[in-house]
Amino acid sequence: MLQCWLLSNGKLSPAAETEANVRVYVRPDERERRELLDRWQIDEHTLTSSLDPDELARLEFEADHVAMIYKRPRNYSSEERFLFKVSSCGMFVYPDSMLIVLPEDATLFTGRLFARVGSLPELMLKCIFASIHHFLEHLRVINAVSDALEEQINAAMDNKYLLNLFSLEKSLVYYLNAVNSNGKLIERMKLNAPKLGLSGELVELLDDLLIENNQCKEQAEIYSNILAGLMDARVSIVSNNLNLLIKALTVITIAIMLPTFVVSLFSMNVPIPFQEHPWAFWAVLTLSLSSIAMVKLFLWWKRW
Amino acid sequence: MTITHPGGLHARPCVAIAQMAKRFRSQIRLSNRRQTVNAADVLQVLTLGAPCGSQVTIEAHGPDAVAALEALCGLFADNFGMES
Repeated sequence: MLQCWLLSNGKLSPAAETEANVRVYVRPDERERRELLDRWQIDEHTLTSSLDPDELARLEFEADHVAMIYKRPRNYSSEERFLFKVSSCGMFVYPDSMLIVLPEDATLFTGRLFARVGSLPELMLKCIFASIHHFLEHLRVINAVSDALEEQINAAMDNKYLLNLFSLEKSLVYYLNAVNSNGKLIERMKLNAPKLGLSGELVELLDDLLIENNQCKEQAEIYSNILAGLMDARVSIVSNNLNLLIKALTVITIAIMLPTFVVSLFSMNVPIPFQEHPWAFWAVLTLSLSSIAMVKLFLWWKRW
Repeated sequence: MTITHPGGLHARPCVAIAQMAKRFRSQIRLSNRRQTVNAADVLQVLTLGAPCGSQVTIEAHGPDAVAALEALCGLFADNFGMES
């Protein structure tokens, strides 16, 4: 799917294909892939990398364009069961146009950040900025979900919530890897700022990107360490909750066992003492009830 | 309410809804065609999976139900406080 945009007079607006200078290819089909390879002279390997979620961020200088792959968080969907994944995005910057290749549908140019965009290199940096912000917002979501899961774990006896926490931990590893990779890309861009045609103002924006990305990385590291560090404690809590349930069930079993023994003893189909006594039934019942009282007293004394 | 955010009811709006719902004492429930969830529980709201354009019904029962409904409807109308 192709989305066309026109960057003109500091504004980015949807445009017809013929006048567009920013083209966004979402999940390009065979015809679009051919167009990217033949018309835009994009390297096939780089194009495949843009659509591969496991690809690391990188920057390459080609004859007539700059090819860049950066990482962005994938939009969370309810089927993913608390696993937040990352995706790749390819950006190809030419002197008078820019191509973006995405493996899935995403809203790229939203928010105040894109209200005013001076040039294509600025748009390129702002796309990376938006991705870092998206990571930061997802980290806040992961933190909120982790808090909610902790509350549930305090009373849980099954593995469901623990498995969800493991998914969050795994997500943080993916995020940390992606943010690190973006950091390397930004550093490389800073080193090649003149080659990328970045003005002094844009180099300042690049510095801001680096700071934001480092903050994002540190936040992801902190959340990841906290989650990993407390995981053992949470496993113990679930195990203890299960032990408490087993203890309660055992106490109930013992409490029932003794009166059952008394009643079954007097139920044997052989001559037993007092069987002809008129109060025999009441005597057995009293003995049985007393045994319950005895068990209860014993448990109370032992503080179980 | 109709979800108008292009990304639908994804992770960030879910947290915003749960945080808003927790401020009220009323029982607030969200439902779409598939299921009904507790709006104050982010874990449940995340399972709702409502895409852009889908309809979500908000129900509130309790002492501050009207205020809760107004606040949540405002949040939906404001695209969950996210820039668009």
